Amino acid sequence: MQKTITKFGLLAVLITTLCGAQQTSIQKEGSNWVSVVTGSLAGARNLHIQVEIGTVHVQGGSTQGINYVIRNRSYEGSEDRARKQFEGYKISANVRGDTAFITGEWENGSPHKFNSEITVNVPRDLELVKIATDGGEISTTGISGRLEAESGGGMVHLDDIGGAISAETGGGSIDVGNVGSDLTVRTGGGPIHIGSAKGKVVAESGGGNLVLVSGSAGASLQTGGGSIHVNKCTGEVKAETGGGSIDLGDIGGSVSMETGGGTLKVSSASGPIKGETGSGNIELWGVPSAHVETGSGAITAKFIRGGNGTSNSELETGVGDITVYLVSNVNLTIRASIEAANGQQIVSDFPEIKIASEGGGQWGPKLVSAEGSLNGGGPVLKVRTTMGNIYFRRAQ
Amino acid sequence: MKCEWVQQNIVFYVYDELADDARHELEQHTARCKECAAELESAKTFRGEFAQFPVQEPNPSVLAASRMKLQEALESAEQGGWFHRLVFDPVQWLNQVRFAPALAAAIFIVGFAGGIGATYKLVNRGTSDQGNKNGPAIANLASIGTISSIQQQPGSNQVTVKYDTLSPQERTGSLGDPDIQQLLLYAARNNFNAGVRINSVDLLTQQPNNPHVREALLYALRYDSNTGVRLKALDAVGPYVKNDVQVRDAMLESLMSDSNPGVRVEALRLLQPCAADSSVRIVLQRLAAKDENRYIRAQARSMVGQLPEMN
Repeated sequence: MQKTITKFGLLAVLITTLCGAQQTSIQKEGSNWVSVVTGSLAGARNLHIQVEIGTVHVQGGSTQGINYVIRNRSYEGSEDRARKQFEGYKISANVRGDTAFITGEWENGSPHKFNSEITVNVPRDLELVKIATDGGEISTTGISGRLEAESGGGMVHLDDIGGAISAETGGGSIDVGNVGSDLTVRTGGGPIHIGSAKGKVVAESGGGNLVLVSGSAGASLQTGGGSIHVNKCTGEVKAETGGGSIDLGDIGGSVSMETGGGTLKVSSASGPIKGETGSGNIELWGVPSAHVETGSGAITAKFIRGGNGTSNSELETGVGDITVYLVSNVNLTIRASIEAANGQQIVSDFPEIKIASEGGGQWGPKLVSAEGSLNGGGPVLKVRTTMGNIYFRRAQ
Repeated sequence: MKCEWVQQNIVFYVYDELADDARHELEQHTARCKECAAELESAKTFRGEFAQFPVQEPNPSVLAASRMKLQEALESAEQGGWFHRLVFDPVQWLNQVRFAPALAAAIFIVGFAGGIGATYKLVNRGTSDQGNKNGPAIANLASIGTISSIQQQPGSNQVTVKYDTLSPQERTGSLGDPDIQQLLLYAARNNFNAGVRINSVDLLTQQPNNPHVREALLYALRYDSNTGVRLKALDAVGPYVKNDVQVRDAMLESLMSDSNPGVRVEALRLLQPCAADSSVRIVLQRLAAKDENRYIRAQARSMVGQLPEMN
């Protein structure tokens, strides 16, 4: 019996030691009441934070242990009601094995007039930080390990994170600075902005603009609606939007892009392009091959000489002009047609491309076609518009 | 309508001596051209200042002397020779030869031939106007078939809009050009090409203070089928939610019923500064109670919780 009591006593002391000294104070700020809980945890390689409400900030630095400050704010007017709310929201912090846990949960359902904010300072070399909040913003900076973050809804801000990241929010914007590994972010609705990612990027939004400034290992970007902009990315890029424009800069790989309606633009790509828009213009500047299609809109494409194994290309529009710029050393076999030309024509700077027309009679639409081989021929370039002009120009 | 023509006719306009159609054209031009408007104002001021002076009647003796001189000049005028009479007195000559019926027939034939010739020339001129970069003024929007592209020149506010009427047309002008604005407003509402609608809304966002532009943006926010267009319109009208009730109402509609969660989330964020407004509060309370989207429900609850209680 005495041994049992001693064991429990030692355990209590140990837990208290591991928990650190947790202090609580209550003060009035303006018309609100604020409860501040501070504490520290030592001897952990991982951190799990799970709260039912509130914002979570995790900042990595040179600190040795884990130090936290929890500010609970009650919007009730009277101190008594505020204290009841503070007492109803249970906060616990402890270490089990090599993982530190900070939890916050309601005993009897969450009131409306209450908010919470947790700020945790951690050593930079933590291996894993895992954050879950039922509703609130998440902000994490300056850790070299992995991050898993989940919010029922609220903005997510991540920066200077070395390991792989998985972050998800039910709604709200996601803002990522520089990350050193794979990045997977999802939001139910809201814009996503990513600065620089050294690993593969997967970004999805129910609706909102997506921006990727620099990627190093490919990207998959998807949004229910809104524009997608990629400044620079090495590797394959896949971009899809329910409606909005897609604007890609320098891509060191292949491209696949699709939009329900909006313009598609690629500044340069080292791999083949595949693109589709319900309606909108398409601009491709400096690509080896492309399969692109628009229901309505102009297509402008500049082809450069590709390596061995360059595939065939196809440019198609229902209504609109197609302008193709060809560099002098590109080897292609051209097949172009205007299905129903009514005054429209095919114009070419290249004498090798022969133009012919047939049908139509005196008043009806004609089929205008053109064929030819440049520099001995090569992959086939099919250019087709139902109604519009087609131009083959020499690239500068 | 050229400034040169306007400035030559400003005086006639000021003294109400212009035909109605010319008058209308001049008024349309001066509404757009600052220089001509200033010239018109100057002419009106000039007339106004002179109107203050009383009108002087001519001296009776001067009038009588002038009439006598005119009478003498008419009586002493010499008649020209046969050639002069043939060329300058055709009515008298025709009376002499009694060609009145034949003359009537000749006039009819000449008039008919002239009408056919004028019609032919008008038709030809219409087809040759295809290559004209700054074509005729846009008089009838219903004649526009499609707007095929809208492009802004980088580094400037010059916009090139390519559109089809009966034949392809192109217009280049600044964003302040009323014709360009008219085309952009039309494109934002009526073009089936979503890419063109997005570009037009994007350019219209540069002039959201214009009431017609704001109306077009609100229309796009409410009714455009493309989510990208609705998001762009939402961001453009966002700064005016506090001061413009129509913007606030449109944003509340989007928050409550847009099919895309991104649009709803953005609308909720933009409505935060006016959460205390009664109409916004009612919507937030409804969303906090039963919205299907968990984030919007939680955000609405949080916003309502922070509002002061109403008695």
